[in-house]
Amino acid sequence: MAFAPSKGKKHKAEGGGGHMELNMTSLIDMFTCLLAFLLKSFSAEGALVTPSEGLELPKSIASERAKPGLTVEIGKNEIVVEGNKMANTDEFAKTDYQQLLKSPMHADLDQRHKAAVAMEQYGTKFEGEVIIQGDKDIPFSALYKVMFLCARNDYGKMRLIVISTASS
Amino acid sequence: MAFKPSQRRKAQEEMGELDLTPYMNFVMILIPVIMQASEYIKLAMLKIDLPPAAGSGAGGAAEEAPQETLDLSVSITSGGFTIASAKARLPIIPLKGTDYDYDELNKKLWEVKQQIQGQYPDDLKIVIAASQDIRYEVIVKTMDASRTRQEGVRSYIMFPEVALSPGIT
Repeated sequence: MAFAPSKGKKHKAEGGGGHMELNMTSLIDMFTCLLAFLLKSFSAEGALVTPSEGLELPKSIASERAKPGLTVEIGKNEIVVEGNKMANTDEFAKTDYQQLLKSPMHADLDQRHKAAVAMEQYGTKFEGEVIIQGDKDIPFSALYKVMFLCARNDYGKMRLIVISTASS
Repeated sequence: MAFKPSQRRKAQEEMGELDLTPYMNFVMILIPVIMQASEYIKLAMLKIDLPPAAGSGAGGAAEEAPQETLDLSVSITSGGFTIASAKARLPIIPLKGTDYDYDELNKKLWEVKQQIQGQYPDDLKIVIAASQDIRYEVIVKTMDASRTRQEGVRSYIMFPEVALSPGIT
């Protein structure tokens, strides 16, 4: 004897007005974990200094947060001050100190210094802070000559930007 | 007259599912915002000074005390590190393979630090001098090796006030 077809199954297959429920519990679990993880690594201050493209910064155990300032980038090929190319790194490293004082970079820094000092009457204090982003392979002479020019133009507070490997 | 059956049982059954749509919307917005603002590369900065003699007036040491100073310096050459002070010069720390021996430098400076404890006014200062062609990465690692000493889980400050000097030509 054949059984009569199930009425319940027929009702389900037709669907009718009843809507399917998507089980979102596992998705929400995942999102909650992701949110907790991101919030933990989130810093409220955001990135104040952005690493320049094409530069491979050296790694260091230093953990002091980078602050903004006049940016000097010393790449493998060129030296850039606030986005403007100033010199070729190799030539710059070979130039002697007297010649450096006649270089366009010296003139540019001098101009920036004068502009910053002129702004002091409007309440922005000139701190003389300069941040140096150097590629890890540049020779020491290039770095030192950049420091020399900065110091000559009263940018005495020099900071080297590095990639922090400190755990905390 | 018969009473109308109670609606309570039916109402309880309908409350079963929580409406999570607003929460999901919120999370879906928040995740991209946080991911965009996060720093994946953590940048830090190292303070450096020019050596006292070559400064342009930016230095803050005003009084010239007649007290003896340590004048500690590390010279980096293609052969290795040399630690020197006003009193003595330690033997050269040669290269380890092709790279510089930062661990040995750190150890030797730690020994110096323990010997001079509190005897000199400039016991936090060190001058790093390097040849012209030494790579920047070596300078930064040498600075790291001079600043702190890691002993187990504790880290000790050695010579955090680093000045760079061209020194060797």
